[in-house]
Amino acid sequence: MKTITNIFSAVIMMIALLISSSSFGQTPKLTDPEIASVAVTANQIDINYAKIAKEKSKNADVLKFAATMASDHQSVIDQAVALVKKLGVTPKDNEVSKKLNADAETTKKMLRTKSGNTFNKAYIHNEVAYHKAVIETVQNLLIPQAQNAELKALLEKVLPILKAHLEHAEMVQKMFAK
Amino acid sequence: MRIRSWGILKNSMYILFSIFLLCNCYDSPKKDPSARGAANDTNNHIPKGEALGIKKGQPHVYIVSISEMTFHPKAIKVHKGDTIIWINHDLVAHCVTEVSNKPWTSSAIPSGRSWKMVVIQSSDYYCAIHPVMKGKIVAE
Ligand SMILES: [Cu+2]
Repeated sequence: MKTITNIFSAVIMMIALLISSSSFGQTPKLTDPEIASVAVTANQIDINYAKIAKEKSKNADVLKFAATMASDHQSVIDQAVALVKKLGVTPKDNEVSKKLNADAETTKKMLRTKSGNTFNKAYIHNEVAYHKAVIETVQNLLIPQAQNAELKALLEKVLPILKAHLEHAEMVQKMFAK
Repeated sequence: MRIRSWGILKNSMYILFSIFLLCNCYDSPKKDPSARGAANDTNNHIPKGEALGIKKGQPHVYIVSISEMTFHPKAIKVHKGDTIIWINHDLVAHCVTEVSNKPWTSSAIPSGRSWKMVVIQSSDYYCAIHPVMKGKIVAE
């Protein structure tokens, strides 16, 4: 009986996690201008996190990681902006970009309350979680729904960058686990 | 009460199983990029020096292409005095930096640009901007 209760609570926990991770309920349907907006927003959010790290951290590994995030995500934004210009598309706000921005506001507030090593840990922990979430969004939402071939190709080029960032973040995170 | 719990448990198991199936599907597209990288690699082994009309016995020029956050090929075998050109095909800047004592570094190689070096010794190198990117030069 106890085992059943344990399994039961484990299953409930998994479902709770699932519902919170797929926070949009049903899969949102996005147009190319909306996908462009999500892409720019997601990159800008990580640049903003990096700015906070630059202000608050004194750790060399965290600062180097943050500098890479700021410059790489800016390169991606520049490419995305150049492409939408070329295609004559105006990025359009949507439920996904709004949700990303709302979540980022909460996270930035949380990061600003911390300092020293507590900040370093919180920042890098968030970078790991954020890159996992963005990889998931680009891979399973933006790429499959992108209609324009060049937009799809750009998103496909961004994916390995995000994956390298995740590995890098996990590497820095391990240094703080010691 | 117990019966209701079992009902939820059964439904939960069904949902979990569906997720499991979904997750498995998502794994397959990941293999594409590495396949493309491998295709590039075959070209990189061609000593470009010969293509430029340099005679046998003279130093060769090798290309290491940087794409999808990886050095292609990851390890390259050359002779001392040969030149390696690293070409950055990614959207972001990379660099080529010796690992242990950092006696040499390319500094940042912007997107679309390249950097070359005459090899004098074997080295393990990495990208200091993205420390997860690693490469190796074996000099004979
Ligand atoms: Cu790099």
